[in-house]
Amino acid sequence: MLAQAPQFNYVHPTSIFSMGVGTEASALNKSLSALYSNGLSSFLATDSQKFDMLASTWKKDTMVMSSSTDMFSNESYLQIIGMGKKALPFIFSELRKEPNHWFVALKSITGIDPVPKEYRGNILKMSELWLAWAKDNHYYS
Amino acid sequence: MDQELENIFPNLSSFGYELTSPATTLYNCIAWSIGDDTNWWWPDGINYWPDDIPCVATVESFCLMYASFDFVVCDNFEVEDGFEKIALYVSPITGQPTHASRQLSNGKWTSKLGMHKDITHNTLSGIENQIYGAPFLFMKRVIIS
Repeated sequence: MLAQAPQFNYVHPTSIFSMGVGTEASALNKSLSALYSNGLSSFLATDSQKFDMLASTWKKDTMVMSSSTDMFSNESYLQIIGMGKKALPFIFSELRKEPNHWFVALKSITGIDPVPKEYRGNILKMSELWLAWAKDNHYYS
Repeated sequence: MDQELENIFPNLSSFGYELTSPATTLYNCIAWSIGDDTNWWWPDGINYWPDDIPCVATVESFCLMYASFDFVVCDNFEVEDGFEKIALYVSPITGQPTHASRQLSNGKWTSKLGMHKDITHNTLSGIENQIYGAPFLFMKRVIIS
């Protein structure tokens, strides 16, 4: 007769904290669960670090794309939009360094578009117009 | 040669290519296929797209756009004296256009790779991958000297 295989009950690593070890452990448990579900970016210490990581990933993931459908549905780009107005100073800082395709994010976050139709696609001019808007709205002096 | 590009386009090194410009965010492959290196073209309401062409990212819309620049649909990518050709790549997943290459008089192709560099590639297959898909539509126009 074969010996019966030992039985193991799988315990998810984050759930050990909910086994009655106090409120601090419970908070840690929630944080770890969020880490599992949201990814590392939600745990970075500052908005600046989070933005830098997302911007770098977006550039790397989309560097050979022409399709804005693909460029702007990229998960990192959407997470930057999800940062809301907190992302604006970092986006404007990026735009001051290099004209780039931040216009969909800016339009989504601010709800406005300072670019007249005749300048659509002129990335230098679009950057210039957005930076003028940023200056007028005191995002930098 | 560019290792980053060769990682993205695994066929590139075996079919042969040359880098022909630094990376820039200022124009894209569609602009470059028309000969414009100052604008980013895409039918999205944010970037440049001709007014009289439907602003939707479909093969039909791109075909109409090229037709407005005197291109007509053709059935091959062979070099023809007196003509320049473009090849429109389409994603097999979305069915949407992803990229365009323009043929040079020596039969090679020139492409602006998104925000990356311009390259000359010896074959259209050189830049087939999961992002670009494969050439789907060929068009040509008379070269006016």
